[in-house]
Amino acid sequence: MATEVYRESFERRTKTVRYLRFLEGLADTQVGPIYLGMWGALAFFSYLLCVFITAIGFGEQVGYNPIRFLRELPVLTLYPPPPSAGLRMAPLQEGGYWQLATLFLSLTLVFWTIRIWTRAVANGLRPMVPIAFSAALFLYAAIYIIHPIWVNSWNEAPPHGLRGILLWTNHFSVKYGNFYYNPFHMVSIFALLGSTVILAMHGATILATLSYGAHREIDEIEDSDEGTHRAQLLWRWVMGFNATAYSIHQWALGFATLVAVAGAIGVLLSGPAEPDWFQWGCRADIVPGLQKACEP
Amino acid sequence: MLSFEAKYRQEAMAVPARASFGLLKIWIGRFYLGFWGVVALVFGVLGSGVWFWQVLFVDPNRTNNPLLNFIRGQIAPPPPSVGLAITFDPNKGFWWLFVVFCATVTFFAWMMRQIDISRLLKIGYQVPIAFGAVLSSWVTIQIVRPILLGSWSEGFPLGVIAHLDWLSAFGYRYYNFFYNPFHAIGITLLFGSAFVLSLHGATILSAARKKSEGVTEANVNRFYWDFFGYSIGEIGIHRLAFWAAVMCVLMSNLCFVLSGTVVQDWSAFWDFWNYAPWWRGFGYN
Amino acid sequence: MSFENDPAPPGAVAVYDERQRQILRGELVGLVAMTILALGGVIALSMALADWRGFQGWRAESTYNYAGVQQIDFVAYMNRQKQPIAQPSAEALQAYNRWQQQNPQTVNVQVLNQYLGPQYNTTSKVFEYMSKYFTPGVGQSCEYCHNLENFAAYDKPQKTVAKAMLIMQFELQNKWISSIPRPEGQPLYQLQCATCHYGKAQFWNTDQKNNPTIENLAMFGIAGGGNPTQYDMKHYGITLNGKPPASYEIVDDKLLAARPDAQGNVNYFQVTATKDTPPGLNDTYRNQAAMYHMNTALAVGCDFCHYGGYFKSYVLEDGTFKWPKSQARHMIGMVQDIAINWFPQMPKADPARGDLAQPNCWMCHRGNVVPPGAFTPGEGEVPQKVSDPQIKPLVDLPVPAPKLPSQ
Repeated sequence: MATEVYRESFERRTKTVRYLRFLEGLADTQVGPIYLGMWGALAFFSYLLCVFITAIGFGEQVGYNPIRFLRELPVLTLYPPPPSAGLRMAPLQEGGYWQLATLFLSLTLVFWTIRIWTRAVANGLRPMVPIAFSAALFLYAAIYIIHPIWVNSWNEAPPHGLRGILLWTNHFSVKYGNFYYNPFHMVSIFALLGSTVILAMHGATILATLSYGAHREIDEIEDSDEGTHRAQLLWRWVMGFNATAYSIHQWALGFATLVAVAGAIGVLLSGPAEPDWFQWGCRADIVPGLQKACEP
Repeated sequence: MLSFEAKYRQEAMAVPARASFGLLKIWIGRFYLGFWGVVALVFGVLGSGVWFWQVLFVDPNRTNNPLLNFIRGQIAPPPPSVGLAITFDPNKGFWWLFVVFCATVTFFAWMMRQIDISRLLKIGYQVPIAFGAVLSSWVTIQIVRPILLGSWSEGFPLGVIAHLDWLSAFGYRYYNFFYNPFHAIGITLLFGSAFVLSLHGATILSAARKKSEGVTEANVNRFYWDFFGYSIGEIGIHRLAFWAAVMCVLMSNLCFVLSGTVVQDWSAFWDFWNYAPWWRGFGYN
Repeated sequence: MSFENDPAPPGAVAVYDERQRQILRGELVGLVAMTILALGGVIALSMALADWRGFQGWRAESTYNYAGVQQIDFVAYMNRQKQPIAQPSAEALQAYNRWQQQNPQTVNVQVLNQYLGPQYNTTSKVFEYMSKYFTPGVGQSCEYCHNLENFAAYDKPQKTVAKAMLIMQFELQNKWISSIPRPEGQPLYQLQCATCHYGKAQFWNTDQKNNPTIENLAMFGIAGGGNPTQYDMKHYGITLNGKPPASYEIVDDKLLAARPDAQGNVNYFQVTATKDTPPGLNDTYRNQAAMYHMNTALAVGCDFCHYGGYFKSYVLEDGTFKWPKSQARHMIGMVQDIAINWFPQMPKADPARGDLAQPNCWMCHRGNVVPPGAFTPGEGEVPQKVSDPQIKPLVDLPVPAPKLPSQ
């Protein structure tokens, strides 16, 4: 029933559709219609608030001078409250902006996930995309919310800003010894690079077999055709193993999800469970060379 | 053999395997052999054999006390004193040179093999192109950059954790790799790749499991129009996938090869921004 | 539930046609290009085999070239900076000759005699030292400090300042530079006027620091990665009299408060967490701001001092001791000492000018591992320890126990 209502409104809105001609021959050209809906509206306004608060915070730092804003944009940062503030609400300029912006950013992501869920169901799809997205949401929550609450300080969360997020990544690793020695980080990076490899393999295979129609994947899964056969044989002959049109997407989803989940576990264990991953590496006997740096 | 495989093998026999010079056009079990298959096999077995032997059974301190721990072990590159010389001293990185040479030949042969098989299957060359991108990364980091800097010691050690240590030290040697703009683009594409992969995998699975209910590509398009206003389409997504992954690797080549040759300090690299001429008119010098 | 009745959007890529096949053939060119790139490496390798063995590579300019440290000498540095090296003026030389004839023995020379020994009891010897180190160092002729009629008089405030500075120089040399942990074979350098002044009498005060023009920033060293914002300064404690410095600095309240414990251990910067480390990353942000400052000041990467796998460690994985890290720790102690004990009590020649800015690594190093203004001492130029210096440190600040390789 809900589907029928949606379908009607879609047809009314088809007038808003535009076409990007320059994409012809490369990808589909139709843009729109985009669906708003309640969750979309909530996500939109919540994100607007997040951007507005960030803009105010940045603006205050540059005296609301637009040129100075542009010049300093790469280094403008909204920092979380100082360690002394713990988990309390902080004054606006000392982390309050960060707390508000993070609150609305978190709400946006939750609303966005719900929105994807409702759209997937309304279009007759299983909600796999929102499930995959929630893995990323878990990583976000681990970094911005769960870990700071666990160690009792918002200061451990990443600041907002172009340089700020990189500083955090760097400093979090340095503070907890060396993140390269964090086994969950290792798994996460393995899955991250593996994702790129799988993406390249899958994309290249399908592009190579376009002329046989391997790109019609939803049909190919049901009833594999010449293109899929050739694609499968390619990998079978090259490396002795091949996925099917269905299982390659399972590999894809699994690897991409593992990136976020393993990464989140790695972040959560840093601090409360292991303050120094290098020393963990020493205990696990994985530090290369003579391990002289392990000695106190 | 897959149920449909015989037909394609028969068809492949009629296609000239030019990349392999027509040599050894045979299958061993599931694998296609070909001339480059033999090359890859020989050098691959040799290289990984030497690697495992060195890492497991040869103690880096020569105290006859092997590590027997392939996670800890490593083959270190030659020390800076060797420069670009080809050393035959096993204490000064001969085995590193040997394994790097074997690996390079193996990777190249593997790419040629993919070209061969793509020809036999009458499909495009995108797979060897994508593999060539990764090969170029290996060649850039282990061969081109050391030559530009005049020392094999610039290459990374061949070891599981050892290469992580190298990566960490490399980033901090040039102050902070997070300030390297090509590193930033590469990382963006790396995470972008994982994101695209996740979206694509989830999308196809979500549609395939509802195929019996009449779900088609049109549903997927509708979903993406609803979701963010654009559906790239079933061909477009693979083209995006291919270029995102390949550009990620090519950008990482760039970020490595510029470090130490052109740029010594990636954070000071950004000083140009603060003193760029276009701020001058607004009262900044 | 399907939408098969929807018309296909115009321009959509639905079927694969001959034109697409041609595009794909074009992509073969990319493959060939990448193969050439790979083969290019092999060709370059064979060139290297031919006669590139002495090739040093194309590296960005730095006095640290990963094979070792080079020292740029003071004159070469000044020439590169296009700065003149001062000589005593003709008028001053005449006045000196007169003075020397009247007083072949020194009149009221206190500090040099005290620190360098009684051989500085002749006027000509003192003149030799002054014209070798003072004149080029501060870029001024004798009359800047001296009354040419009476070289012994203290009627110019500059002379009072110079005397205090000289005492500071010798005291710092004795306390810090002479005791720097160093490997065998590394020369011992010596502080001189030029080590900080680089040919400028007035070069390091808060007026210049708080006025970040390009010239002033260049003088104080520009930290890479973009200068911090006022917000960073306010909340991350790296302040200078309440105003943001031009670049990331090393001296802040926490550094000023750090003291060695009974065993001589001191934590100037908290880097790696332990079980007892309080939560929060602010200490790490502060630490890295200071580290960037040192990167810039010495023009070295982090691996010059640190083992990249574990910043806390003083040794590499194979046990090689990182002398630079031990030395940097010692030098941070000296910066702290200057900031606490010396700069606050330095007399000012011109009361209108601002206070001395906080000392930092750039002040002497100027993008080099060995400051170009540091000298290898000549004969009789090494100061002795003096029990009762004319200016005493304000606070008793012990030297931390040096980090040395364990046997």
